[in-house]
Amino acid sequence: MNKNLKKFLINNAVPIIFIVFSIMAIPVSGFSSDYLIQEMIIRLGRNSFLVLSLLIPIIAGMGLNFGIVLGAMAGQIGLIFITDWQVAGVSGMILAMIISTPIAIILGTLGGLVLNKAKGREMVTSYILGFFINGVYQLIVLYGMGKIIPITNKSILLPRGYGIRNAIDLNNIRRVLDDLIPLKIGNISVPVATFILIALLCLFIIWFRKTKLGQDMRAIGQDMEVARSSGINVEKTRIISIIISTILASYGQIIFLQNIGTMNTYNSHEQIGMFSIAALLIGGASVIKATIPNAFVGIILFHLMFVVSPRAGKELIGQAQIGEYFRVFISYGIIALSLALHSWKELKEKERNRTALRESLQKDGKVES
Amino acid sequence: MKKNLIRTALLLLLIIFSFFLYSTGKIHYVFIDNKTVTSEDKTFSALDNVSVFVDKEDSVVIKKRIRKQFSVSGKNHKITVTIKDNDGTEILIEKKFSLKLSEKAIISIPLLYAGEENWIEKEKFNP
Repeated sequence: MNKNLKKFLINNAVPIIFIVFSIMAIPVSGFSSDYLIQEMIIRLGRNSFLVLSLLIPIIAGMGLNFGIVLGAMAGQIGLIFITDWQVAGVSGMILAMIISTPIAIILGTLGGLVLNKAKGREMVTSYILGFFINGVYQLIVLYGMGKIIPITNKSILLPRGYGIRNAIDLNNIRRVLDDLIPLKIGNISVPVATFILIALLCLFIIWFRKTKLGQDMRAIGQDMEVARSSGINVEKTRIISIIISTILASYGQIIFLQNIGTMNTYNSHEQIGMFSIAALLIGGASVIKATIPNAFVGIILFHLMFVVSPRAGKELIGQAQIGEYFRVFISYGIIALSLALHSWKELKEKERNRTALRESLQKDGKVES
Repeated sequence: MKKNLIRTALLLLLIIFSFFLYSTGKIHYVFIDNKTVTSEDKTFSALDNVSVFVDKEDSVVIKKRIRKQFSVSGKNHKITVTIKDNDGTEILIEKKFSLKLSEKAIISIPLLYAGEENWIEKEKFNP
């Protein structure tokens, strides 16, 4: 086999597998092309911001930031406040983003500080940090709101008088961004304003990579010690990368929930990190390298699986749950596979370096063969 | 020093912008009554064939003795009422009104139709 083709297949094994699965599952599911295209457009608009928020920490060599759930929680707090104050429309959405920004900055700083103490183990640390902050979030939302933090809108409070209800109706901001610039092509409606916002974020990421800070992050991502010796403040730069990611995730969660229209106060944020990371990895990204196309390809493939597999399972075996199990198995499995592959590659790289060093020392006669 | 000044100015601008967003996005409830009312010893009867829309919301038909609720955001609003007379002619009434941040409005169609000044009643709103 051609060497380049082989390399291409190895590097893009995950998206290729997903494309093959999708090609097989789409006809079985029986969904029309219009329906699938509409679903993919909705889901691209809904999830892109969250998935793109993962890119900056990867540039800084911090791997996949499972800590975006911290940002999601900040976004949800913003949404709770605008629902309480009854601020509607785009104004309400922007106000929620403004409220969530300082909270995301604080959480991002905390995340960055903790991750600096756990260099080399950022992913598992950010994952566990998500659980810890989730506890704090629940304490504030379940006991603080209505008691310490004034909440005047009784419809979002629990009957006991404090604590926020399990589900909040976001009717005031439902689809405000998606329907801001309406466009219909045939039977398919396109959320133009959401895509403009996503395009702006892509431009920001491209511009950011070229800035001094972006270059510093790349240098840190390649080799932390070399970056440090060349005068880059490694710790501060890493914290900034997590802060940016957390802020973007908070905006992403607000965009996500304005599309859904309902907020599960205590659950909406929980799966965000896992699903966004799975989508990015399915798009062909790795722990050390991720691009904007990876994010978009990943979202389409991952969500195509989301939509198609339960129906395909039902058509094949008569049970939609089989397809659902398969989808969950794939999304978690892909993360496990990707992390295992990364460790394996790292191990191989180290082995190769060791062999090369031994051989060069033998050549110089410093070590006996 | 200069850096701090710029940061403070930006923060102030952000706070002002937030207040602007709050006032433009704040929801107000507008209740529209089509009920017989008595004002200054005069009785104003409820009307047939009334359709109303507030701002850009969809038109709503309000039958006799019925109150409808509209939720609108922002400070300034416009109510448009279309009433069909017995002989079939349509009468169009348009009125503008503004609401403070914590106010709700109760609008009486018969009073509005009669051209009375107290067609709108504003009250403090407690959610």
